[in-house]
Amino acid sequence: MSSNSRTGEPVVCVEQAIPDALSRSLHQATQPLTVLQGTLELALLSASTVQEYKQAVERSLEELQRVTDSFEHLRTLAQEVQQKKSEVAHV
Amino acid sequence: MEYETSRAKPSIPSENHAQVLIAEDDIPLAHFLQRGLQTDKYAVDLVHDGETALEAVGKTQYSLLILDLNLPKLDGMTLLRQVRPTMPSLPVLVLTGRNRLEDRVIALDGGADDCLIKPFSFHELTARVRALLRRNGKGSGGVIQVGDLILNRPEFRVERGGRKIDLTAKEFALLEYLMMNARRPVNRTMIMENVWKAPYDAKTNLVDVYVKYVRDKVDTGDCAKLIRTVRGVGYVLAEN
Repeated sequence: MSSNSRTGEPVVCVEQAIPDALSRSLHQATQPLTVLQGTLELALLSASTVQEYKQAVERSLEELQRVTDSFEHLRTLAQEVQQKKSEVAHV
Repeated sequence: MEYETSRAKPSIPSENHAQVLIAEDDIPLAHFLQRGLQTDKYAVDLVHDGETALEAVGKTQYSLLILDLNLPKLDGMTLLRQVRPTMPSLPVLVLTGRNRLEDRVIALDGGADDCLIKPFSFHELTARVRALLRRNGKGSGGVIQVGDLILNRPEFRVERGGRKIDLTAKEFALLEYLMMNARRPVNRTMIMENVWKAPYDAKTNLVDVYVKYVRDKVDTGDCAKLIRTVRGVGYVLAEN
């Protein structure tokens, strides 16, 4: 494992951590996507009143927010990785 | 033990319906699955970690376990390995967010009966639930209904529109097979292999003879014909 010659910190750890963190974030996004898909499927199949459709839309929006949160997390992660890479390149 | 159900703890299955345990740590997803399956008349209990799931399956005789692999306290695979030796016949449907082939192979080799990758369609989930329960003879408590035709497996009883139909054991098995595959055409080879547990021999008309026997008893009088011949294929049992 190589290390930062100035600080002595292991640099390979960052590279190892990236796939794990990515995998976790993507896994997080699959949960709301499942609810979103199912909610819309069931609404199409069985909702018959305005109230039932409204509930389905509200639930879908909540889940969409969770998907958005996961993407935000991925974006932050990508920025951190980029930053770490440029730090390593400057050493 | 902390069960989460909309009714009693644990839930009490309504007559003729299966009791399902969902072990899923994502709360909105778990609640969504519970609501959806309850709409399909299943009695559903929820747990959100592996230890509670292990405790629950030890205390209640569930018809099916829907298991997320990524559970806190005790992960799904470890739970599965602990459950399998003592409950070999408990159907387990694994949910996973990992879409790699090897993960699915590990889950199935580890004791899962089926595996669904998130995100999945709710329709696909319910179809797989029905298939697993059917395979275990626990679908709707062993009662199958197509239109006004009802087959009660535990009581060896068949009724159509309230009229009792007397069948021999082989006729009963044949009708059960046709009903389990309702709306799907089945060919003579499939019928022979599944009902008689023997290879199909084109020189005999055994299947056709028995289909006629069953048809004469089920589709009598003015009632709509449920069993139909599909030319070049075999037979199908369906409404309309």
